[in-house]
Amino acid sequence: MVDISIRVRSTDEGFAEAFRWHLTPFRRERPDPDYEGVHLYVHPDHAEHTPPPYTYTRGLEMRFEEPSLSTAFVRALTELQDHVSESVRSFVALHAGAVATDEGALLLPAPTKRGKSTLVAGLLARGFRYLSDEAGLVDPVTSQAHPFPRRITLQEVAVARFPGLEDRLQDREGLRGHPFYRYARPEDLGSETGQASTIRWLVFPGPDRSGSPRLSPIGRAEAVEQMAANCFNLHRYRDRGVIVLSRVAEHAEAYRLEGGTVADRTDLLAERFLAA
Amino acid sequence: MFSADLGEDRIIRGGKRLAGKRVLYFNGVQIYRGRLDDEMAAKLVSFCRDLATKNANEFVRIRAGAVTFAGGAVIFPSMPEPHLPALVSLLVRAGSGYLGDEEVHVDPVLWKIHGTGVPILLDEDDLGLLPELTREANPRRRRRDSRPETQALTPRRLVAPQELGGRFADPAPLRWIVLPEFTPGADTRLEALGGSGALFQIVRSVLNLNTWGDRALLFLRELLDTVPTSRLVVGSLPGASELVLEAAPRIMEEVSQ
Repeated sequence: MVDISIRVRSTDEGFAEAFRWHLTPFRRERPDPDYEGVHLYVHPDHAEHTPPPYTYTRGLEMRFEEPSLSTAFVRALTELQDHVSESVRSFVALHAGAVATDEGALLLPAPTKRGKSTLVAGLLARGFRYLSDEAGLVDPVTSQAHPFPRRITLQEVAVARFPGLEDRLQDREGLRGHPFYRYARPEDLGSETGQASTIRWLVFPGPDRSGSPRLSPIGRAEAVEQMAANCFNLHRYRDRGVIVLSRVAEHAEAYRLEGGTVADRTDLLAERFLAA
Repeated sequence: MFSADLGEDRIIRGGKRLAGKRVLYFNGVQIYRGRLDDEMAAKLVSFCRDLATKNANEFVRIRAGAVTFAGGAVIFPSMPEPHLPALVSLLVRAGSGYLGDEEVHVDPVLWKIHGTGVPILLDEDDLGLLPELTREANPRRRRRDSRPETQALTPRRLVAPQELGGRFADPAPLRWIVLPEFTPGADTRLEALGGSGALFQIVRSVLNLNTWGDRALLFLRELLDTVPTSRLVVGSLPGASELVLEAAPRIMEEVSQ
């Protein structure tokens, strides 16, 4: 996944299969000898417990123990994805949804709980191509946005907003118990994963949901500041990272998005940027 | 975790002192066995360098020596080559700033060359080129491993650039790429080089190509299109050093303009 090679092993076949499904977009043809090991198993000392807790380790460290397999699965997946986002080095990584059209990429940098994934899912259903629902990877050489095509993480309530999506989802096959998140492939929303694209638009979803949705243009300096505030690895790139973000802002239109429900916001962005 | 067993010195017949056997371990695995403290220190430093830099993927990491002239950097990308640090040492002794002897980091944003901050790890056989360095001679000559993948894994000695009258240089913009070919006894010469041959050679020296993939190729292609590139056939190390010193001011002035 991006800069990190991982190998997942588990004593639970369902867990292993579910993880394999999630990591399929990142599968490498040849195993990297310098991989990080991820393991989920029942420790022999805990085998007598009812139910026996699952132990999750990454590298040489035990990260958690969890009796529910479905909860262990979500925690393991989240822990691993967070680790990958924080360990990216060959890209400037923004906490952002990212989609693309033939014209270029649209980045949606925002902190957690701003509805990025649902917005991305909505945009895919409207004809955008998928880059990521969580990490906007900016190549420091070309300033292009690259795909980080992890499965799109949705809450149950969000799945209901997309007619027929529930029937297309494959995220619960094989896994005992149901994780509290749902996971979609871009194909489930009638889309596909896009290629590296020039960043044409930056839209910063704000917390204000009052009134109808509106896009307000913002200046280059504010766009750089907002991207920097949502950057996973600016501490590694430091001033060089700010230069990369300035290059992005120089060639992209930047907007603040306020007001409206997720559905309203989706309509507005699709109307504004697909038409372009 | 590193640990070391420094052995015990012994007085052998004839009153001669025999240094105890030094053994260096990393996480319990032996990584050095010999009788010289500075050779063991060099192994420790090279091991630390590899550990510290292997994840520095915000840079394109290149197996190369690098020095600075007048604020610009010259890099010497190479396959594993034990004599590369000696070439760098000779240039540092002649007044160049020191960036790296076997690994440097290319900043893809500003195209600056960053050193690793590690002293020079000079091949034991090249100590004779720098007689001002006083180093204890190795009591036992070791047979060199002829396998290509171990060519650069030779006994090394730690040399601070200050011992050569030099200094560590700050990151500097790339001004010249020199691809050395070490051919002992050949006519030492500098030749212009470009196109796919230069790209092929420099790509072979990228240490994190698995991370950068195609993006590294595009980046290096752009570098080669912008920065002058030469092939340096190294028949003799002092001759090669003199050639580089002679050509550098002219080439770097052209690039700066």
